[in-house]
Amino acid sequence: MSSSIPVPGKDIVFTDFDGEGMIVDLNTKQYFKLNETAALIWRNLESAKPIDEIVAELQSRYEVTREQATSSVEKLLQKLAANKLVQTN
Amino acid sequence: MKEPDSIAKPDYGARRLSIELTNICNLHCSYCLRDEDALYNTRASFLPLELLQKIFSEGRRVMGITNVGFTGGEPTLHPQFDRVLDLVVQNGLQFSFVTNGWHFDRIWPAVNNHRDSVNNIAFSLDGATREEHDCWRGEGSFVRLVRAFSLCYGSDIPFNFKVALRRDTVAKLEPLALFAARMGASHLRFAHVLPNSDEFASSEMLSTEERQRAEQEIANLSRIFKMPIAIDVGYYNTDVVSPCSPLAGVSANIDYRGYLTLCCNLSGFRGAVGQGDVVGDLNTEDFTAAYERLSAVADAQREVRAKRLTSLAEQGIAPDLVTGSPCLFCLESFAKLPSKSGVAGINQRSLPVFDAFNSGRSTVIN
Repeated sequence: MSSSIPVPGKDIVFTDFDGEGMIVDLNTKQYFKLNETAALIWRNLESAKPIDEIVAELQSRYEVTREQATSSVEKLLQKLAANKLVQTN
Repeated sequence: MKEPDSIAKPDYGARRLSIELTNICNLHCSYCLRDEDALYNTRASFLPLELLQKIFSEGRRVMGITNVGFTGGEPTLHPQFDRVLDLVVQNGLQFSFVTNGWHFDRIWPAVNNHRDSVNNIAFSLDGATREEHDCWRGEGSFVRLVRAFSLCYGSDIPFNFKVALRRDTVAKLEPLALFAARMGASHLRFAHVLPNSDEFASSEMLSTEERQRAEQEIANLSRIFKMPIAIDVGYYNTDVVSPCSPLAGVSANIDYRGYLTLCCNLSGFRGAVGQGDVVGDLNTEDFTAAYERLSAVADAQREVRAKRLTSLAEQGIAPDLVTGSPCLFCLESFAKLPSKSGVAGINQRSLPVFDAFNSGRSTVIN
């Protein structure tokens, strides 16, 4: 996994939505819905938490192995990057 | 020769009350029509639940209301907003409210809890970008607004945007419409700003020609977009038929003190001298008696307007902007215009405006 930390784009607005999340991309004027796990990862990205710590938090909240948690984070980051919702510093 | 569009029969909407839940607001928008002293220099006042229960039940019985629309001030600042919505639902009413979105998080659980009774939620929008919106409402306003309407969108609760027509917004009508449509708004409403001071009238209000062009462009956009786009009453309209729901007796307003008044635009108008639109104090008076006086005020005002327009028509004179624009006409009639000179710059209409909003192609929201 890359050591650089992806951060939410400046024109991306996240809203807590009953434990899940709603993202609005103000550039494309598109909505994206995040499930509970994705919303948790997003909140951690907003506070610029290192990926390892996000993985650890997932492990502490859900009964998943480190590999499963890492895979979930990586998949989400790929989707977020593909939709230009995060940028890597 | 092309046949003119048929004139649509006015639709004044559901019988309803607009209710100012409070006098205060957390923002300070220079184009706001409410009295500055009430907004910022007067102790916060919130309509009590007991009075609201009386208003809801008597409003149903006397006026036959089915809807209430909350305004302010900023209505979401009412500390018992959740209990207010409980009362609305207990009385079998639908509700709507207009908000700047700043405190939406706090009231969201109550709104979501009563989602079946939501008629619509109107968000005040000053621009389609963060910079344009925040320049009027302060930094952070746009993001809070986006978060607020995102919740509505994600929950399928209908919301709309309300945009004031000023020099800056009139140049951005299409981006505003695109923004509203892409964000899933149920509709977009424009409204001419009203002259709350001489200074504002001369700097931000549209000239006669600009108003004409704006009204024409809104009519064009309403044909292009699937999302309904409308302009609130207040545009130039010389039809003697009642131009709005208050004059038609379909709606009335209750101000933050609990006074029954004719219309939410006239109520507490900044710098107003006259109070002829205020008919009674519902804290101490029966709704029926106050409403009878209100009906008389509405009837008289409708008659004054019709007589003036008819007389001018018989003389072959096109009404000037104040006479031809229902809200300006009422502001003048009730001694609420800041001064005649304040609207002098915009009061130079010599030709009747394109009457696009009686064409039946766009929705008029009264």
